[in-house]
Amino acid sequence: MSDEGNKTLQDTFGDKTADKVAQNYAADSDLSKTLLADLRALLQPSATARRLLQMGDEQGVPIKFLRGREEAVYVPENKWIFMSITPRTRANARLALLYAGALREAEQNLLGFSRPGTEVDDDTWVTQNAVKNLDIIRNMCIIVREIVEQNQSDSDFLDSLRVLGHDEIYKGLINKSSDADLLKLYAKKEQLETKEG
Amino acid sequence: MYVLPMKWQLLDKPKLTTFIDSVKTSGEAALFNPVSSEGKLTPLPFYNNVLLYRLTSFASMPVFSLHFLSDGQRFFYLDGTITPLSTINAMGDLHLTASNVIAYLNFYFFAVIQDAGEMFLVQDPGEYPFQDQSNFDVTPGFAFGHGTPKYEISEESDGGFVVDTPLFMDGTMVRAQIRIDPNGRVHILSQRIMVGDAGTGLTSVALIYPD
Repeated sequence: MSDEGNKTLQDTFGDKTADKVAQNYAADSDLSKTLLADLRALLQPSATARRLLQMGDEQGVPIKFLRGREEAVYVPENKWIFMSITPRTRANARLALLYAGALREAEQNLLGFSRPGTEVDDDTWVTQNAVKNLDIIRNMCIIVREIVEQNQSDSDFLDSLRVLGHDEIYKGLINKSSDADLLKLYAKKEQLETKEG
Repeated sequence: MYVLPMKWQLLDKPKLTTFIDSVKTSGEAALFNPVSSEGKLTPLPFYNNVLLYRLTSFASMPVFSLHFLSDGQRFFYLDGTITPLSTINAMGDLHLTASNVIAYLNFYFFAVIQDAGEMFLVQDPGEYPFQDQSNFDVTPGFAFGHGTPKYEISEESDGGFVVDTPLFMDGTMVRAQIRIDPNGRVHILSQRIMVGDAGTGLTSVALIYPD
């Protein structure tokens, strides 16, 4: 077994990384195009999703597909969407919802509601992120509700929402909970402490 | 059972910058911002010099991480295919022993997406609650060692190993025989469905990344 205890950070790098490996994170373009088309098709029954898709098209929100070990969607900056897919990825309700959520986040950013930076205090950071995340989840729930209204036998989107952990917020939305109550549900889900007022 | 805990070492800013410079691409520049990123590395017990690196970006929610294997000069991105592992293993740095082959298998199932779906070793089927996608801890780590009676490890004459182990395979608990070649290739030789006692549940082996 290697002597990990004596290995230091200094030992791990040469003076220069001259012998670099050319990195290529991009997923297969044909696969990506097909996947994107299929995800958009899955979202079509929802008016909210169609609006977000149209917004993305009109605002030129780019989506990049990355090869990865898991299916996930990220919006690290402004309106950029990155979707990590595996060699086995095919269009599915969960990924479609994550894509729609990312479109909503990109829209928030375009409207000036981006993620807080490190310059804010902790409470502000948590609160702003919570409000932003809840808005994204709310949109995902609305999309699921609209899809289920179109096809009551559809369980894929409801199951995916449950898998993503948003079923309580979905129930709150269906029961017309107030924004404050939805925020409390979100805080409870994320195990965040809340302060009244 | 002896457990060698994973020890992540945080990269300081200069090392993080060097790391990012080595792995960034112009096409995905938004992923590689040193201001909102963190880099860590950890040794792996089955490699002599190759280390596992993790680059985490906190610019998005959820945060996301990219993993690489590296000898400090060249970085090979773990993209879910067998390619990076094959490349690294062909460099001759892999050294499998009975005491690290389970850790290697854990790592293999973490790094390589299988055709049969999600797969990971299960340490003790009798101890864990039922695991599905909603509660599976997807921040994996590795259990080193083979001291539990649930594994059976036999060394082959060519230096490879055959491991008989509980395995979570795409939603089903199976007992699998797995062959690990000396070059690190993994073959599932056989599998049979396990039927557990009602209520005992099934759990995953230590797939934990200590931070």
